[in-house]
Amino acid sequence: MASDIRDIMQLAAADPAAPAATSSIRKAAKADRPKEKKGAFGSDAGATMKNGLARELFMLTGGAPPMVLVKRKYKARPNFSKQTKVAPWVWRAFENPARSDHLQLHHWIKASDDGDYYFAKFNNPLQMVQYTDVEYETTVKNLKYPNIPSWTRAETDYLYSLLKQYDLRWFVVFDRYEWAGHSRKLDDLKERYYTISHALLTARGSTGTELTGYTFNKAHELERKKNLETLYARTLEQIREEEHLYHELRRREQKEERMAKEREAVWHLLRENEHKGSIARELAGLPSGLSSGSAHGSHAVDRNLEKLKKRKSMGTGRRSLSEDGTPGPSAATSGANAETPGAISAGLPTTARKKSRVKEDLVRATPDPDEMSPVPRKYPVGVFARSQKIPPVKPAYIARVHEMMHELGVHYTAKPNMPTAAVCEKFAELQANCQTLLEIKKQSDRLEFELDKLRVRARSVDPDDASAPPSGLKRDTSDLAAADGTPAPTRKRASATPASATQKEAKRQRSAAS
Amino acid sequence: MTTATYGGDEVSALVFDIGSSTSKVGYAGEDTPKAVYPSWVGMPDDSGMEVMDVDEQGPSGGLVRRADEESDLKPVKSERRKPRRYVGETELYPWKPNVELRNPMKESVVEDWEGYEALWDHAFSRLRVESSEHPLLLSEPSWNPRESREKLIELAFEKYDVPCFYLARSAVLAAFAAGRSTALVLDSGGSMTSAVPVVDGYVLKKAIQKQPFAGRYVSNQALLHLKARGISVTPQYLVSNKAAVDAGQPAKFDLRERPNTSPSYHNLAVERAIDEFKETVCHVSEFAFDENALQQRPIKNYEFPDGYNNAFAIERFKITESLFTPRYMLQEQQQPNDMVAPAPQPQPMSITQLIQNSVNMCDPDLRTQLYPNVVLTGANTLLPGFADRVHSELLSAAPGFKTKIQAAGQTTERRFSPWIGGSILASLGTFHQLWISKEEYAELGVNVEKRLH
Repeated sequence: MASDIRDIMQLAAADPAAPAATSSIRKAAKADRPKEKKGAFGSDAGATMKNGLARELFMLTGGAPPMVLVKRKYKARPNFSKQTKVAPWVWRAFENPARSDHLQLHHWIKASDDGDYYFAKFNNPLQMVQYTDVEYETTVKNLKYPNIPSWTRAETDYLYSLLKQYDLRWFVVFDRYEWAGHSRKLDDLKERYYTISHALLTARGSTGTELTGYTFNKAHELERKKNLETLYARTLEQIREEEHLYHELRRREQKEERMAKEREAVWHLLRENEHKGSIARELAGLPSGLSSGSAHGSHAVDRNLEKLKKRKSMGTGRRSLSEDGTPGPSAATSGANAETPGAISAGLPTTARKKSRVKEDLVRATPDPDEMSPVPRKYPVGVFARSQKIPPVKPAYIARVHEMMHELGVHYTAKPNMPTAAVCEKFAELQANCQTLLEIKKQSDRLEFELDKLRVRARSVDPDDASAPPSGLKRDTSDLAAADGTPAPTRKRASATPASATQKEAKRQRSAAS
Repeated sequence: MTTATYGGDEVSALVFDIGSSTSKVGYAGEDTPKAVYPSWVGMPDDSGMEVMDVDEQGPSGGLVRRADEESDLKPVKSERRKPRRYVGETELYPWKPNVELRNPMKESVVEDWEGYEALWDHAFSRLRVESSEHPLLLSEPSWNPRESREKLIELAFEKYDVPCFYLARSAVLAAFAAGRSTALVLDSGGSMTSAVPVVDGYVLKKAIQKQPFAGRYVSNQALLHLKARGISVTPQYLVSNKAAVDAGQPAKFDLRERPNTSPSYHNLAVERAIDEFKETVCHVSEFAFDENALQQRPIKNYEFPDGYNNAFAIERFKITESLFTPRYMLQEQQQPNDMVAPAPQPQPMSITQLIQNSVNMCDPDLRTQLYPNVVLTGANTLLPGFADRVHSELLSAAPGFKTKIQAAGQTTERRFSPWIGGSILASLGTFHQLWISKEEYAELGVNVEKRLH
């Protein structure tokens, strides 16, 4: 490889010692005698000097092979001469301590291997809670089992012998249970054993955790098994139907979720519009950005709240300056301007709960910060034109909003030609309304399309009723549309706007009074 | 202990699996039996003439009756004389006059103890071991009655003087061979088809389902189908010479003179010929029997021992179908001279039904463990398509369960799985405490049977 690179670099072949140590990785790995390696590197370094190769190039062309490969040492051939004698294996008789008799079996085993039989330790008989004669008389005999034939001592002994023989494997015990004329079920046997164990342990003074393994609720078990039987008895059709229903439910749930989301979106849209209106109004009332103070439209309101909190800690001096000492507010603006500080001052004295609600409302009314135009937040420092405060249209709607405004006869689409406060206000309002209208139209178109799809599906599902269902469907879908929120928000909006207006009115009055 | 990793500890045990049609015997720890021979015993009619002199070696039965050459070599010491018995393919299959063939098993349970002993003798001689030197593990059908088990224990200790002995249920062994301790074992062998639930290495006796419809029944059905097509089967021993004929043409062959053939020999010869046909041609429809669909399947040519040859199409599937759809069973033709109409033969139960019945008799908690562990064993399950059919039927019959068929892919594994399970069990270190020792037998007698699981 190194020679290839040398070729590419048009270098003369390295001296013969270097490639021997470096070019072949395998050779390098083999040559693990440090002395020789050192020599190779030494000559390599010499070559570098002689040829005047740059250090980087030397690294490229060879040098020391990667550490990993050097480190991989191959084991030397095992030295058989040093090997000890082959361990002898013998055919030896052994007895299994797990057995009660003296059966002698033979196996091949290493001669050095003596001691107990290895597999005897796996003989772990189960520890059962056994009763004594006395305990049976005092504790066990009094146990009562309703609705099943009573247990005798002999039968209980028989049960216990089986349990011992089969290490509490209930299925096997029940299979081998052959008490004359018995009609017991598996759960009867279990109940017997567990109640006896529980009673014995309680009588012996065990409490709490020691008893946890010995509770058995037969009624519950029977009920469970009955349910299992029902579950197993389902036919293929039933299982399919069940699966189908489950999927249908999931589908509907998802649809519901989606619909709720959409409704929320429409709601948002309408509220946003309302909000934009208020922006416009504020905008109209503002001076042309000479103030560096608090009220930069309602977007700034929540920011202002934050600021106010800060200022509160700093002292009230500046606040009064920013609120009242705004230089040169006209009479008209001060009236409109009062709205924002009023909202704040209304928030300020009230309790924290109320304040947080106000803030929450504002946050809710204010959609995503990036959905709203970033301009209000990016007011240029210093002097700027009023028209710059008009919130821009969403990029996706710019063209259509402009077109619409054009149709309405507003030809100066980007900015009002005469940006007086009143014009700006109206302009912003119009722009916002156009945008909202377009957005709602888009939503409604989508819903209409989905409705059409459903209608087609309904017809294909039930072609006989093709004439009748549309009306039913229409009713249904109109309900659906209502649930979807399309008409509802308009109603809401109509009512909401006056409500908020009156609220604001009240606020204004309050602030005026103060 | 070096074998501790695998839990193995070889004590040079022997494993016998005497089935209703073949006997499998070998050394524990190996993966296939050393000797496989038919479970038939040939008994000469004139046993007075063909007496074999036996070199008695104490009570042991090992190495006693190896063929004639041995008795020729050894001087006759014994007074006791034993009638000659023919066991093993090389002794059994060549034609001999007046030799009655007997199968000592009925429904997999020993019926003819004398013949059964001959099978054991043959096993020891084939393995060339002394019975008194090796522990013996014997498989038994899961429905083996107590009397039979006691007799087997008695036989092993009294006659063969084994140092220790164990009787294991063949279903359990088959489950072990499939690597499971809980399974539903569907065993379809020579004479019996059974569905046996095995839980933690114990057979649930009350849920055993069995019926005498298995390999021999399918052979019989094949014979009836051939008869219905007008084909008679002439076994090899009757054919001295045959000429090639076109497909479907009557056979041209010379009949060999075989006087004094016993009917049992002839029957076995026919059965062998039919078995060959069955194993070559028959197929199980993988899905519910649909004649139109199955007509499309490739046909298969077969030539019988007498030279007759023909192609078989739908018969391939029809012959086996009654295992799954009992109404396809062909009834034995009524003899025209029979005055009394014979009672209709009992119909088999569908194999799927058998499995389902067995599972449904188990506790509800167990069913979810049994359905995913249906182990197929026995040579009859080797019919092509058998496992697929069982699976597809179980899927629709028990839709609420996860169903899985455990069928060993290798032919030998499927045929010998109880033996293989026995081989595994007898070479486990932890198993050696379960052997019934001679000492225990001396103490308890045949009652020691109760200790067996």
